[in-house]
Amino acid sequence: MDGFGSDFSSGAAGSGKMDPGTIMEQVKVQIAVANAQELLQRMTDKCFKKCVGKPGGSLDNSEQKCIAMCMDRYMDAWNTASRAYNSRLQRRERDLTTQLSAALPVPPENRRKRLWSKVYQARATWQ
Amino acid sequence: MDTQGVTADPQLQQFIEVESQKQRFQQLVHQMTDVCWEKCMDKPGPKLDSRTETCFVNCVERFIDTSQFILNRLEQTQRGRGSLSETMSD
Repeated sequence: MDGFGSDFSSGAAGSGKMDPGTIMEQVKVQIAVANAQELLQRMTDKCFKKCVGKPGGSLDNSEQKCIAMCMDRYMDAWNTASRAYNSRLQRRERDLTTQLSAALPVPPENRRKRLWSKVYQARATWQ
Repeated sequence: MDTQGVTADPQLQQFIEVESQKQRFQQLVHQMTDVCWEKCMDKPGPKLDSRTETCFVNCVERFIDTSQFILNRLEQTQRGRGSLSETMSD
């Protein structure tokens, strides 16, 4: 993520404040920018490959139409992949908690809390 | 600048963990979209037809299965056999 470090330090050094809230907001923005850049880079690569044949002197009408459609389809594909991956993660989490509950009798309150924290820890490692 | 204070802040710590997790998710989606586009997409049309969409969903699932399979087999290899090259000759 280029630009991540450079923008960050200049802002903080200028104001002299390191308010956590501000840091978090700045980081979120930069992460969003990095993600958008990644998306555009891959989209450009894919759509160039699909739509542009032997490169001419300019992009003709059919190439431009193809690229426009390709962009939309790439977004559709991205959203489909995102949903599918999310479902998969949720399913694994459900399976793990089902296994845990089935394997044990209802434990007392404090032990239940410890088991749940194990679930959360495991979930963190799946990604 | 008190760097010690910044990294010891529990709120920032949690924020970092949550954002890192989100980023890992995002990165994987980017990667899977890329790979599955090659496998599933013919000529981009006016909409994503159901066959292509199904292909993408299957692709994501199989990609994760593959990743899981590789991790499991690697673990078995290290536990039982001792060297990866032994199993490669199967």
